[in-house]
Amino acid sequence: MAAALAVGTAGYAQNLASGYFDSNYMYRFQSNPALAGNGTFVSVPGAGNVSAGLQGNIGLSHLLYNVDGKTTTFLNPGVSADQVLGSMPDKGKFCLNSRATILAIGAKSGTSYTTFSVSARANASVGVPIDLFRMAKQGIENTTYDLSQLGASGTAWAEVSVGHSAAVNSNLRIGANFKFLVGLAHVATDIRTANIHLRDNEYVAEVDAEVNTCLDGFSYETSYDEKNRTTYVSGGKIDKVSRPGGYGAAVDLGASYKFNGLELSASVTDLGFINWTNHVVASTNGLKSVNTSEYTFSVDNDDEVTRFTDKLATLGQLSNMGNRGRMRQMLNATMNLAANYAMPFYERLSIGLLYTEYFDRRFGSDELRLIATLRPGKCFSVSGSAATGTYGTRFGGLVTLGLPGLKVFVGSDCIPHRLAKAPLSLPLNSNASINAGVNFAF
Amino acid sequence: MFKSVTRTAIAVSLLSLCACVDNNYDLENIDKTVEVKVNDLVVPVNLEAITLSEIFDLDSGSIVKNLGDEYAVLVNGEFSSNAISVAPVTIGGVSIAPITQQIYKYDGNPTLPPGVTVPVGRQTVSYQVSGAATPFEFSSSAVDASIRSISELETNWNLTVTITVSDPQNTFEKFIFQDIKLTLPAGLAIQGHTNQGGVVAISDIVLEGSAKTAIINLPVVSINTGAMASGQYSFTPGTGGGKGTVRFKGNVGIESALITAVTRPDIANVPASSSITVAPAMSDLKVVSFSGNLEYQLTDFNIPPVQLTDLPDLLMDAGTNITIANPQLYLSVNNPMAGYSVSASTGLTLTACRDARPDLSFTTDGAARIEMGYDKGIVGPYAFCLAPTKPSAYYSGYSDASFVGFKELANVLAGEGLPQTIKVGFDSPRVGPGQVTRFKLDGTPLQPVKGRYTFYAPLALGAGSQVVYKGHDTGWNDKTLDKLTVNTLRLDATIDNDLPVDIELTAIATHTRASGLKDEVIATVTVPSGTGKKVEMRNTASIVKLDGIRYEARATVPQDASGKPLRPNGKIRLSNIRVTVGGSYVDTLN
Repeated sequence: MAAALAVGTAGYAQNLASGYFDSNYMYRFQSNPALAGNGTFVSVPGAGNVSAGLQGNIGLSHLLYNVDGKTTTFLNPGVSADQVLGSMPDKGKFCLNSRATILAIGAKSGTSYTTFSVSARANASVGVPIDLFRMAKQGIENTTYDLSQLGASGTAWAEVSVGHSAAVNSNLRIGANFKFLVGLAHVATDIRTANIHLRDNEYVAEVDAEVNTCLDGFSYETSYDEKNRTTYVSGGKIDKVSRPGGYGAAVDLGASYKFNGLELSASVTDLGFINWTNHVVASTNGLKSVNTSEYTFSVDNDDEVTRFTDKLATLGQLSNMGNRGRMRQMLNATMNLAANYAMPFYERLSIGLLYTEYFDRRFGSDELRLIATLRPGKCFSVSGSAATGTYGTRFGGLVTLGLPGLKVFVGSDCIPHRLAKAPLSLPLNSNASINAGVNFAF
Repeated sequence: MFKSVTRTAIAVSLLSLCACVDNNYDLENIDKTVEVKVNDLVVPVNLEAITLSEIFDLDSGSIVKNLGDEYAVLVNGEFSSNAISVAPVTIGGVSIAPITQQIYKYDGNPTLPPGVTVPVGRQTVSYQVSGAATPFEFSSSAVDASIRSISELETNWNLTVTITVSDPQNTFEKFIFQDIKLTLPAGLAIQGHTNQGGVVAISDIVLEGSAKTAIINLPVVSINTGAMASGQYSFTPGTGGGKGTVRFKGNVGIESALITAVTRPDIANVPASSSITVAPAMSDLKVVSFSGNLEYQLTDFNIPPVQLTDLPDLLMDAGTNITIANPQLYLSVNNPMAGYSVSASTGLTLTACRDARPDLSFTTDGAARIEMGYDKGIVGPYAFCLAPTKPSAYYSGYSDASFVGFKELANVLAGEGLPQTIKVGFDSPRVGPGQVTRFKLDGTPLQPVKGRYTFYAPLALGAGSQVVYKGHDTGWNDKTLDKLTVNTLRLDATIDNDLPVDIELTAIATHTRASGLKDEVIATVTVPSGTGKKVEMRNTASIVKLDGIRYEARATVPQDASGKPLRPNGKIRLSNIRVTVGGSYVDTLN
């Protein structure tokens, strides 16, 4: 069931930043275990906290422009290369995150707060080489095109978390979540090198890449290339899934310090790992390259052309490196640093800053978010936020409603705020997320 | 305060949840014009040296062959005459008038042949016969034209001499012919007899009972015309292919003889004289063989015209002055008459035929004939190499050839372009004239004169020759190419030319007719023979509405390279090739 949810539902792995300072939002312990909720709750099974989000730093606004009053593509001759490439990030990336809290319980006892949750989580990331846009817009020329940013990774797992926070004194509060992780699947491409060198005297294409797959019962299928006399990976198969792909553990640590209406807090989440047990690898087995200077073409036969194209085809062929057994995958941790100040004239209104950094070698991101939170009472709160960072400027918000015995929230850290003209009012960037949940409150 | 702050905050929060519409982005009306550019992209190309063999691109059926280290016109073939057949000679037999002669009692006392006795009570009487011969003459005007003279004929011919003794009273019961000598033309060889200058002695003949007639068969097995007396034989060979006439004449009969008659028992008086009748007769004379002089004109002896087809186009160009340093025509022939020790010979004329130009004929030096001897027997082969000068080595398969000078052979292929056809004519091919001995005339044909030929002509080009090779690759244009603009098209390369020609390369961009644009010369470059140079070929204006490329290679032979052979491994080497392409492609996406 957990696997089905992880793969089939959209969850939001990143925690809702817009609710970081709202104590009515009962799931902020997932962002910082030191931040306690303001009451006891039990989630509606499967619906306590469901989130999904897409984040990308390339959107429609990078691909479409207005020239002489008409919308056109970035390839339109009226759009300059500087205009296009100037707006592009150095590295294009898209991240899809989902999280579904299947069951969560939060219990307040005095100054301590204890949580228990079971969640299914999945992350997927895709990299887009900006050199592709450079090639398309600037024109093909004698230079080197680096396509190593091209790649993808994805991980799906379930976690069982037990958390506790307590006040150390009247100012300081600390907390931690201890998480047992059940790995479902992990796929990651590691493109260490992918270059096309278009030099005056030679063209060189080179690639050094690896695909790591961790999934119980999975193996690669291979075919034989008679022309190049190589065996290459042509697909994959899952014989039988009899157990989880791996197990792991993680911890979230947090602290907050309050004085004179100012609350400073910090947390690190997802400090942990998953030990995968069926790690199969497909690889170029080192650097593969094709160099045109090694080929001498003839005007009256195509043999050398055939030899060249056959060799070129091998660049995309991966060797089955077999099952390497266990692989320890460190989770990509998230760090939060925050400061929130309650307005002296009306302490239920606060203004806060939250800096979040998501650690990932290739798909890492950060953002600084300004959050205004108004919490007139336990039955209602609202917040609005604006952020800037890796994925551009984003706006968010959260509304929580407390009904008798029930708490409902809906929020987003990435509300599409620029839309194209109706009727096809698509977001102009590629950031969007939704968080929602229904919980029993006591 | 509380209420106003709350309301304001709620309003701000709700506003933050509402997105704004950017009217600059109208996804329903997108201008889908796209441009993809290539910015003077340098494309390095490593290219194998282009050999002449790749340029010529010979079909397997081409008469120009790549012989490994040279190009040559190479034509092989076979030829054959009709079978040698000399018509049989048959001379029809003629009637010979009989002669009756009175014979008289011989006073001598002849001796009877051994074993011949005269019974008791009988009388004998002898009669002398002399000069009882009669003339004859016969001839044929159907003697094969190849028979030019006759010294001897081997024949299948029978002469018969019938001698009848007159005995009207039935006086005698036995006649004994003794010392018979017949008169025949000298030269006729009679089987079992000897012709001594026209006289043939015949054994004694005895007639008994009622027999009064003796028949003498004379099988004539040969006729030695040289032994015949003047006037007895004449032969007029045919002229202009007509038949010859042979004629024989002479006397046949009894030169001398003694006839002894034996009377019956009851005869008392023996007549003092009597008479005989000599009646010669002859069969048809069939000539089995003849000895003499024979000269046989071979018929239907030729080589089919050599069609110079499937040639590389560039060799057919009117500006191509092909020269051939030492073309060689090889012949290998048998001699069916070698068994009779008779040679064969023929003259040879080659005629070059070009469209819309007069034919040009060439023959061997001094119109020398090619003589096939007989020392190698019938099969031979008798090989010949006809060439302007004797080559240092003969072409494979003709190592024992005899050289025949043929200076004009060099001109057969020379001229403006190769001829379309070369006619090969054997002039007056014949066997003989020569003396044959007992040449059979039984109608069985001899083998034909046959053989094979090889025309081998290494190719070279004369000074000033131009080989122009034009090609095109057009029809590219479509809606896609219409959207392509080539601003820069440049080829930088080092060209080494070790061909014996200066080479001028021209590339021309062609446009569709509908475009109204003139074809544009992209570039022209010249590389002299035996040199290397760096070249840069580039367009001078943007190329639009491209429909293809026409290219022209003009090879001109400089004075100092005249006559140098064209070698298949001669190379044009393009190295350090850099193709620079710049332009843009503008399209509207669907």
